[in-house]
Amino acid sequence: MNKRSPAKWIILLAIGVVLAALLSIVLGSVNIPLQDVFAILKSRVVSHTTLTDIQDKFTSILFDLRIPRTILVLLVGAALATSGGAYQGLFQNPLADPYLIGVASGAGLGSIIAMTIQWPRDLLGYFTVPISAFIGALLAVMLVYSLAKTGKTVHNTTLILAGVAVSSLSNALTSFLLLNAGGELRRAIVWMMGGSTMIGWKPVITAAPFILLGIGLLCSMGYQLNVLQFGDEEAQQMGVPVKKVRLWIILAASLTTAAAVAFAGTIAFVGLVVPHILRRLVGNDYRLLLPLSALGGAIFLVLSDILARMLLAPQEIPVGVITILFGAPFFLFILRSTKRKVW
Amino acid sequence: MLQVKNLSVNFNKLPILDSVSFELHKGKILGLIGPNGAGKTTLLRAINGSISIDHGKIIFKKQDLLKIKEHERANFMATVPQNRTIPAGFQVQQIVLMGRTPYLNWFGKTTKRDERIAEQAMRDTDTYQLADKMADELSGGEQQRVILARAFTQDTPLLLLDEPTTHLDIRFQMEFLDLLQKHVKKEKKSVIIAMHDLNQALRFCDEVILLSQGKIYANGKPETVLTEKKLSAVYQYPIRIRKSDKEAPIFIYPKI
Repeated sequence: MNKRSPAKWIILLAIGVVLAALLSIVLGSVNIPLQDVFAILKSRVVSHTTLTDIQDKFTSILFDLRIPRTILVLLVGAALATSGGAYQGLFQNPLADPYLIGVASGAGLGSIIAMTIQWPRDLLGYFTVPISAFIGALLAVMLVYSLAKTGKTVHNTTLILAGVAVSSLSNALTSFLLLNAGGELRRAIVWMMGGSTMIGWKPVITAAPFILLGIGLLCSMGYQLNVLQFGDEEAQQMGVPVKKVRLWIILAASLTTAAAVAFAGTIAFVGLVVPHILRRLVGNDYRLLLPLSALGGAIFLVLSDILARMLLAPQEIPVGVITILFGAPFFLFILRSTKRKVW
Repeated sequence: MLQVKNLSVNFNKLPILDSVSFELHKGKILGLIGPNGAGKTTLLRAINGSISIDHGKIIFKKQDLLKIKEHERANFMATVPQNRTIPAGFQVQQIVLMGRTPYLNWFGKTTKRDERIAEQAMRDTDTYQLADKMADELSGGEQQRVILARAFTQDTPLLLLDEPTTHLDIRFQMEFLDLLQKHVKKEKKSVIIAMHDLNQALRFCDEVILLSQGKIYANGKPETVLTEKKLSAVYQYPIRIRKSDKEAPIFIYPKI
């Protein structure tokens, strides 16, 4: 019945993800020509094809640095955009972004608490950070929601104001903890600004299960989110177990955000910009919007990350700075253009 | 079919509904009338499970509705609310198809049968030609018919409508009520409809309940409930009834 073609959009954006990922692997302080990338990949897969000396050198850059970083950035971008789209549907608020509603900052505080207790070195230590971030994110979103709720309604502006307040509070506590963090201060600050300073496969392996689980859960709730757009009361009259659905969405979106924040810091506006552009293109059917947001978020963050590496090379800008440079004007644009209602 | 027994709802300890009891039979249209604040909306929301009740029973086809989860009442009744919400970015057919929600799985997978039911509902509400349009861009009258189509698609034996014609012009009001009447008579559904227009209640309802301050003041055939004496007492304003006109045998109007 639906005349829009979901498959077309999925394929289009999936190709975009592949292209962006290739670009991210190729470009950097040392550019690795594409044919070398393929030669190296081929030697790994098919094995025993001989590589030139220079290709040997590229191999370690590729496998120790570029590929894990690209995968981590893809995952984080997908996580932030999907949870952003889900929060927007949950709160029926076009401005709900994990960063703006304080969830990301809560997750950040959770991460820092875990980090100051024991800076993660082994794999088990790594898991304490995302779990602590998840708890921080949940506490933040529940605090923001209860602050913004007056009676049965949650006002758009109040939600953002409460988010900003909770955000500031968490950030202040985070800064306080950082002052006591000692030697790891610089790394932690870069982390906080959203620089993917974590190197190697460990963060990828630890983040991936949480992020993929969270995105999978969120994408499975597309239809429930659709019906929820009629408001809680009507959704219930249409047979949706509203409380249960809301709880699941909050859990899944917070998990996704927390995992992203724990490994890449607080990166703002991905969750705002990406779903918003996609809404204009494909409408508001969350069954399509959320998977597309995952793909679009991955593309957006990988491209931002390339810029972050290239702009002031050899020095690296935290990727969070790039997304804010794009996202802040975009945010203002959405605020201004409320007359033309796309939401 | 539907039995409401001694239903009471309090808000901040003040009674909004006070021991309301009535029965509704299959295929009947029951009108709820009464002044603002008489409890019409509260009664509908208590029946559909949007608010909890303090006392009483709601029995539907021998099933105690208070013993099942609120959202499971969607299998028995569909509601057209007073303030319509049309979420942006959805086509008419998507919204109408959402009426099938009680029968769908978590992922909202629809079958050909679901689509057929939605299509029939759109034909019955004269919205089929709008199927591909974005619902939030339609006129008020069209949007209200889309919500009606969604309620038809829910395919429940009982329909609850809360002042569905309030924001429509007179032509859309009559069209809306005509479509509703035709559909429910065809499908033998029962309807409870809260309304403000007394003449429409007279014209479209099989039975009428006149509510006053949370209590049933009168209940029965429209001609017996809608009398000058009862209406004037409940609305606290002199109301007159003119009889013997061929087009409208009875016409109710406030004394000028």
